[in-house]
Amino acid sequence: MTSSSRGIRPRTVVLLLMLSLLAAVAVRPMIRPGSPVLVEVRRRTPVLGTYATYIVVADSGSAGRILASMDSLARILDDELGIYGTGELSRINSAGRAHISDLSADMEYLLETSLLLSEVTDSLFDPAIGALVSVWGFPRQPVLPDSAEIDSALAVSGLAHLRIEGDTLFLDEGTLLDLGAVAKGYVSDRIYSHARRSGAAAALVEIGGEIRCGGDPSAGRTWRLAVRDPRGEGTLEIMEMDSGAMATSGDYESFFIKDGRRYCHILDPRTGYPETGTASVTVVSHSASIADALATAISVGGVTLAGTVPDSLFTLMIVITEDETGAIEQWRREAR
Amino acid sequence: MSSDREYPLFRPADLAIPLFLVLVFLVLGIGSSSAPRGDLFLEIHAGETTMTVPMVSDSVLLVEGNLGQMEIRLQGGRARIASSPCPGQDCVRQGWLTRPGDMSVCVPSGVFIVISCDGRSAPDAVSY
Repeated sequence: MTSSSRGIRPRTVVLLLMLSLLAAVAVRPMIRPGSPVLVEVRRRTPVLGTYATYIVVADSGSAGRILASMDSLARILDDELGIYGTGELSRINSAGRAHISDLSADMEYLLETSLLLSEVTDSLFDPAIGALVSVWGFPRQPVLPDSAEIDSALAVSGLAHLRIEGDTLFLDEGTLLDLGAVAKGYVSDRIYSHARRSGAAAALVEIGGEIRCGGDPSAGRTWRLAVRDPRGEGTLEIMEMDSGAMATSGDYESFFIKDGRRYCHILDPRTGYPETGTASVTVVSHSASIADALATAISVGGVTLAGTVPDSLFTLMIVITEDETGAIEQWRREAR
Repeated sequence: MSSDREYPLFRPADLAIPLFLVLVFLVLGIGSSSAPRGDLFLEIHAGETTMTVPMVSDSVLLVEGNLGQMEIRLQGGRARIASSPCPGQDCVRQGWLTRPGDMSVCVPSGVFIVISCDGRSAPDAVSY
């Protein structure tokens, strides 16, 4: 009998199988043109009276769509919640009242969070100081008001002038809500959640320095977040974060100097005057809304207040103080 | 009986085949795992938007420019503008970009692409 009459030899079969496997392995890295690949898309755009940065990690087919929808949502929220918008905040301030059942989920969350944060910050976070902000003219046309103007505004400012009777929220005559100390953080949270629900494997939203970021572990994206040096052009430090939020309030962002004195945009709701003594406060938290509001309140309350904030609300706080001689000191507290 | 002696299932030299295959697996495996999540990236700048793509796989990306859709091709660790609705077609003629810093610009479309090294040492955002 010849070998050909016996059919294919067993080891030839094994050899062919192995060669097939080799061929399969060799073509594995080739992806058909047009197949979705994971890309990172970044956009910087104006919103809420400042600039926003959006970064999305998603497949190439949907990244652009997700980015565009984030941008659209930010503009809607800007109009609804921003002090220069024509939406819900503007309507409440104009009418001086609102039916609670008519409040949007965004406004309801913001008011509830504001009340909670007011409580834990000894009323130093206060979203009902719109009248005070108005007489100081921040951020567009800051001016030094006379003490009578400040006293009049102070008399109608504060959450004590907001009351709920039945189904209606009332603002006292002249009282104005200003969500500026929490809105950027809140909108960052909202847009981040929207991006993740829309299919982003990872995302970062930064609005006016308030940051929310995160992602699937499989996306393998660790975010590098820098904290600005309040008295220089550089960076105080850079932190790496897989998921979370960071917000900073500083007296350098919007201020004017008159007769050698610095007047910044962060107002003390107790006195009606800008805070002094705190150059910047950075708060790291799980929520940009909370980080944003705490950073503002601690800018007023200083390290005394920072020492009392419940651990559940933050991960890290950095307070940079400056005394009358210009000496800078850094104070840090990590949550246990 | 004679056939068993003549054609055994495996002869010692046959071990060379699986050894070769193992070697191929190792080389390809090491190649893909160290394929530096990004040693090289293609940055595509279009208006306010920047797209960063790790140059580890072949793909075609469609990007909206001022004049319409452009096709950007990544292939074999290289990148190029493959098609553009611009009248001059200079960007398409420029061909493949291969090294960090190589750039192709389409002025009418407001789009440029550039190869960068891992740019992630810079912060993603600044809190201020």
